Order: sequence, then C-alpha cells, then structure tokens
Amino acid sequence: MELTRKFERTVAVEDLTITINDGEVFGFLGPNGAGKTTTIRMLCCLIEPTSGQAFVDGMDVRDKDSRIKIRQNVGLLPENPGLYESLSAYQNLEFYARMYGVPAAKRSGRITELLQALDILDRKDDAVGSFSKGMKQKIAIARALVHDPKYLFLDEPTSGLDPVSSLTVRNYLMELKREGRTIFINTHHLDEAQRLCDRIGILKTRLLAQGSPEHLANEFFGKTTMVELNAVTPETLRVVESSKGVKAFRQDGNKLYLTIDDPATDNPAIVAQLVRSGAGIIHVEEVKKGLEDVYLRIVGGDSK
Amino acid sequence: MIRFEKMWAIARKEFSEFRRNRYVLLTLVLMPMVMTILLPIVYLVPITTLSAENTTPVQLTFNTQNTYEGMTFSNGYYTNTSFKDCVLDNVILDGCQVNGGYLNYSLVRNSEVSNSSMQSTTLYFSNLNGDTRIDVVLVSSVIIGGQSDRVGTLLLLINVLMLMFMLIPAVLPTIIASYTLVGEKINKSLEPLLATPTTDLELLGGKSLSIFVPTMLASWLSFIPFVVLVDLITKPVLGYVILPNLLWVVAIFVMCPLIAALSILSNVIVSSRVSDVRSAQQLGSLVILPVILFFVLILTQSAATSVSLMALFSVVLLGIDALVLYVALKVFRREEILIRWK
Repeated sequence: MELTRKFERTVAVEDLTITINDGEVFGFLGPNGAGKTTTIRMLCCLIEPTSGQAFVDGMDVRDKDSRIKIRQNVGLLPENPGLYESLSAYQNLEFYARMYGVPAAKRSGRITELLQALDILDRKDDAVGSFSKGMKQKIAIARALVHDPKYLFLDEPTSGLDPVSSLTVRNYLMELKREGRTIFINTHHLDEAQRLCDRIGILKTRLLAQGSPEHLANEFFGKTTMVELNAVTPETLRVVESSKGVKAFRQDGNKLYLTIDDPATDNPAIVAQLVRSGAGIIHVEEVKKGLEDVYLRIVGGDSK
Repeated sequence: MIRFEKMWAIARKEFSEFRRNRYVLLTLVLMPMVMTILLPIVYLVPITTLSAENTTPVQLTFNTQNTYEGMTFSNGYYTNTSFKDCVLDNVILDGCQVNGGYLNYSLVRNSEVSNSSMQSTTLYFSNLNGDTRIDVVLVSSVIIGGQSDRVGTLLLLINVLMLMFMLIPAVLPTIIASYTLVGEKINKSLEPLLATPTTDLELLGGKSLSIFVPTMLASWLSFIPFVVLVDLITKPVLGYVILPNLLWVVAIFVMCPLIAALSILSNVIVSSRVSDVRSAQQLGSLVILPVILFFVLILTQSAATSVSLMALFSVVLLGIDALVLYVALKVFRREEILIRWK
C-alpha cells in the first residue's frame, strides 16, 4: 500500500497500491526504469521500501522477523539467470534446495521432477556453462521452483530468448498457472502478458492502470463497432450522430468507427437505422483493442 | 541465531567450484610450496654449508696493572688494564680485559672483550665472549662464547621464514575471494542467492568459511613438510631440533588464522567496490600489505622475537580483525550488495 522506493534523488516506485489474489497471475508492464524490478525486489525482501507497506502471505516485508519467512515462501527468477556455470544443472539446483531447506530425502526427487518437466533431465550432469540461453533460463526457473514456493516472482522470464525457447518457457508458465500458483510477472512482451495474466498493472514509477486485459481495453477505448459502407453521405453521418447508442464516432474513408456501450443491443439498432436511411452496408464488425493499444495509449505513443 | 548448515551449504558449493577452477587450485598448491619448501632451501642451505668458525681461543696472558669501573675514556692508548662497565671511545687497547660497557671506534689487540657492545671497532688476536657487534672487524680473533655468527644467522633467517609463512594466510584469501565474491558479481549470481531465506550474517559467514577452510588447510598442511625440511637443514648446525617450538605454534595456530580472517574480511570490503577479478586481487593484496609490513618491521627490529611478543601481536590483530569485521558487516548487506556493489 502506497509503496515507495527512492534511490538518493531518483524515485523508482511511488505510491504503488495493488492487491494480488491467491492463485492469480499478475503482470507488470512498463518501460525500462519504470520500477518493475525494484517492486519485485521489495516484495522478495531484497531491498526495503522507503515508505509504504507491502504484505506477502500476510507478512510485512518491513518486519525483520518476517523477511526470512517471506523469502522461504517465494521463488524468484531474476532478470539474469545467474547460475554457477562451472557446476552442473543438478548441482545448481541441489545447492538452492539446501539453501531453501528442502529435506534431503525429497531433494533429488524434486530436482528430477523439475528437470523432467522442463525437458532437460538428460543434461542434468552437464556444466551449465555449456548450455544455451534458453536452457539456462529453464534451469533458473527450476531453481525458483525447487522449494515449491507459494508465490513466484518472474522478472522478464522470456527476455532475450529465441522464439522456440520463449514458447517452451511460456508453455511451462501456463502449466504453473493451471496448477493455481500465484505468479507475479514483469514483462515487456505484451502478447505474453495478454496470454498469461489474469490482471495487468501498467507501471511508470506510479501505477497508471490495472485490471484484466479486456477491462483495460474497454476502460481506455470503450467498445467499438466498425461499419463499412459503399459510400458515406451527409445523411448517413446525420443518422449516426442522432443514433442513441453511439457515444462518439470517427470516419476513415468509407469506414465508420462507432463507440458504443453494448454491442448486443446497440449494433442491431444502428444497422437498422442505417438501412432505413438507404445506406449501403458492406461489412459490420466489433473492433477489439489489444493490450498493445492500451499500453501505448497509457505509457505514451499513438493508438488507433 | 546463526544457522551453521546454511553457511556450510554455501561453503560446500564454493568448494565444488574451486575444484573446477585451475587457477585457484594451482594457487592453493604452489604458493605454500614456494613458501615452505623453496624458501627454506634458498635461505637456510647456503648458511649451513659455510664452514664452521674456529672456536679455539687465542692464547693470551694478562699482566693487569690498572682496573677501572664505570668510567669513560676517549682518545687514549691503554695496556695491561682491566675495564669493567666502562665507555671506551676512540681508544687503542693492548693486553686489556674489557667486561661490559661500550667500545666504539677503537683498535683492540691481544685483549679479551666480554659482554660488551662494540661498534666500528677492529680486533686483532683477541677473544670475544657474549658481545653485541655492529660493524666490527675481526682479524685472527675468535668468538669463544655466546652465539656464533652462523647459528645467529640461521636463527634470524628462521624468524624471517616465519614472516614468509604468514604470507600464506594473507595472500591466499585475496586469490580465492576474488573468485567467490567478484566472480559471483560478474556472473550476476548474487541476486538469486540473496533471495534465499538466509540472514546477511549467514551469507557472509558462508562465504568467509569457504575462503578460510582452504586457506588454513593449505597453511597447516604445508607446515608439516616445512618443519621436517627446516629441521633436516638446521639440525647439523644447531645441534638440536628447532621446530616445532612454542613460538611457531603460536604463530601457526593463533596468528595465521587471525591474519587469514583479516585478509578475508578486507577482501569482502574490496570486492564491494571492484568489478573484475584482477582488480580485486591487486587491491586485496594492497589492503593486506601494510598490516604485513607492520609485523615485518616490528619483528625484524625486535632483538628478541618472543612468545609474549607474538601473543601481544595476536591481541592487536584480534582488535584489527574486529574492526574490519564491523566494516565488512556494514558492506555485506543485501541492499548494499544489490544496489551499491559495482
């Protein structure tokens, strides 16, 4: 709540208030330097907030005694995999299993299970230094999950990966989502956020918007219907203007973009009025605004 | 409460990495070998191969006519005189007996000088016994008592070797720390480590332990061949087995761990400010150098390197260690590491 972090003269995060529910996948979108990594670091108890409060699993990140418990319940995938390159994949995971206090009897089984799920079991004894970037990222994800944490924080999980590796990682994250794990993702990939996240927050030092991708599109663009005509006459424009369901409209050649409240009731009425006025309708469709449009509108840039 | 198992897990991981780091392995083996095998051979063997001094006294007969005690003489020529605790400056002595006192810028012939301090003096056909000598020339004269030059030099060089030995726990941590701390920084592997449920103290403890254990193992294990080698080389001259003795036991088991701790903690501080392994090694060595230099100066200037002196140094070193630990704890905090470690 009203979480703020300052670094000397720079404000990284200001008055951030969000709630993430159990089992939810929440995505943070924002340009570089927007404060996404700083937020994750505060929530993982790596750095302290300058002011405000944050609770993870009901525990205050500012409370010294709670910090170790929070870290125990949290898995972090930082921006860089940061693996021990001279050690094998198994040794890397075994070390972290020890650090997170995974019982010796369960360690080997858990590591094998993760490596199998990420399709790298056959390389478990190879030095991580010999792995591709995508494989290293998989090991880093396995590391974040080695202690089966309740909360998963992922900072740019597919950043710098080739399309195939990105897809593998994304598919695995979808699986984790299906398992019902609470996941917090920082990402630049709008498509990834749209597909994975239940809710999205757009951050640029301050939280500019939050909600589901559909909710954000509606909030910033309303619902839009496109009507393509064989010709747009003054009579057509008069009919559209006077139509009750149309809140605003824009003309682009023979196409009219109408902002409406409810396509189910407004679209048939508008079409009927246009037909009565003698307009020649070629095509009618609902225009869906994507997350990219929302993001560009909010963070800065043009959007149709 | 510090959880030792967390510290040990960090140390174990580091050991696994050392096993794959040829540079660290070579340093751990070669440096102690140079200090404990090569240096004793280079320093001690030439001294032991010098021929033993003639210890048959010069035949002297005294016909003492005057005896002085506690007086000062300068610019004179004295024969058949006995001086006890006198200051003799710029004198010529012939057939005299000098016991105690000072003898400076003088010529001595057919005399016996005992328990005196001599400087810039030449002796002909005389016997010396238990004197301190600076810039003294002996011509056909014999040192009949006290320590012979050869034995004295050997004992002095063994003290020098002790200082060299102490360089092992001072230098090894600079090499290892540069990999365990700066290496992790370069590799960007600190953040996931910091995200684990450990305290800052446990992380610092684990990292320090991973440097301390191989450093002390290398130091102590290399002490065994060192003792054997030094004893083999010096016993024929000294007539007894000099190592191990209480002085060395204090040096190896008290001073060495304290020096290692100082070096490790200094390197933690250095590592927070540099971003490449080479700089860390160079700066790490620089940090430890003044401390080593201090001990070298004190020990070489000190006429008697005694157990009590070493114990005193140990206490001083413990104090310095505590101070450096305080600074290291300030530097080794999660937030500092993530934000300020460059």
